[in-house]
Amino acid sequence: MASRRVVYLTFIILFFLISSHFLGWIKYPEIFLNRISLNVSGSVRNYSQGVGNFFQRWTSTRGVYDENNKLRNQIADLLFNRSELEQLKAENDSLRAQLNFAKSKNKFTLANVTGKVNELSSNIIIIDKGSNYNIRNGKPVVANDGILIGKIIKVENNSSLVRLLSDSQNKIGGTVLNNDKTIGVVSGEYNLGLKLTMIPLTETVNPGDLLITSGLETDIPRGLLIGQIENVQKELYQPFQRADIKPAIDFSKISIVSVITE
Amino acid sequence: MFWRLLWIFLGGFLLIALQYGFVSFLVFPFSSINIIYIVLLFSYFLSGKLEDVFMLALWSGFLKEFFNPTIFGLSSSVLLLSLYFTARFFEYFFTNRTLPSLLALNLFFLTCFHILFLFINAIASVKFNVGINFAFNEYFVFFIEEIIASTLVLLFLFFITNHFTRKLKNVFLFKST
Repeated sequence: MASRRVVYLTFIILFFLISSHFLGWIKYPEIFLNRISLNVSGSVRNYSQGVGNFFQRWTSTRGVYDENNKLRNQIADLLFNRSELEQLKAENDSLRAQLNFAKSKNKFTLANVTGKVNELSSNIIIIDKGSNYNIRNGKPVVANDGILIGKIIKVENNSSLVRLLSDSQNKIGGTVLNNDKTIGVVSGEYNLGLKLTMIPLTETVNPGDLLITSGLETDIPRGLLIGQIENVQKELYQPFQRADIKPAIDFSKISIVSVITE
Repeated sequence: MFWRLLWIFLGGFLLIALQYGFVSFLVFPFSSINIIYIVLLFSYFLSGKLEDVFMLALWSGFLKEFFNPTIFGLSSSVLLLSLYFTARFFEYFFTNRTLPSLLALNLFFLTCFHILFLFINAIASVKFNVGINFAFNEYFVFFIEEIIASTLVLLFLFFITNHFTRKLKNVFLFKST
């Protein structure tokens, strides 16, 4: 009986919370809670990345471990330090690349990746900058020297969700850098790879051709690199060709991104 | 009461952090594990105390909304509803704490969650134009992956718990001799 009362009470509280959210009554507690959960999630992400790097190094040099029992402790210490240094080096490289990108005409905001959402067949990353930094829905998100990785789909005050290109719900216009300047639609496939569809049968697309954004969408400028054509499927009974794309960056290893705000 | 609420409060943050900061970054198929659903389902299966699990579901569902691409409140409402239906299912059909019961509850919970989610999302799309369009084949593949991943984790949890507590049973019905 008591449990039934708690269940009904929980549904009433949920209804109150949802209504209050849309009415804006709990805006400040939401900002506070969002910031806490973002920080906790970011800390877990950093820690797990460090541990992951450590184990990667550890497994790759396990043979050395077996041969050098006397140096085991010393090697473990060195490996841990090396994994930390490699993480710093990767971060440094990424920041340098972002800096080169910053010299271009676009205005951008740098952000850290603090989490990832894999639920409901989506492929989304969480970044630690939001509407406070002039980030809006639909803005493109890039990594390194202007490699497009996705679009902003939801903005909170101090966090945003980025739908990656590999998400099947993401569709953007792409141009192949070939003689025909072929235009097609880039979308994700099973959250794993990318494909270019709607390629006219009359145009020639070859493996190895680079693919950039077409600029046909309002918020996404032309010329951002997407990837490289891997193979082309041309069937005479199909109205269009399609091509598999090799992304220019590994989406699972992105830790710093730039959001193009203007 | 205070300590129970504190545990739920901290547990919600921990679940969110583990799900979005750790599990989602794991390699496939481990990235398909949904630690929030598994913890809720397994803690209800072990304790049978619906009120604590419901409070934790409410809190973690509310925190989850910040990181969810769907309309605010959809995910947490569906989570609570499917947990409620699963509890009723456990109460009336799979009443004993056995491995088949746990697996049946997992299947029922996930099926219920996704059917309710797609149904309400479809209404939100058609009526208010705020839903998300899912490709059926990809959503179905994801659903199967999630069922397999959560079943494996629950199996592991079941045998670990059984090894230490001996509270749970491996068989559903005892054979009469």
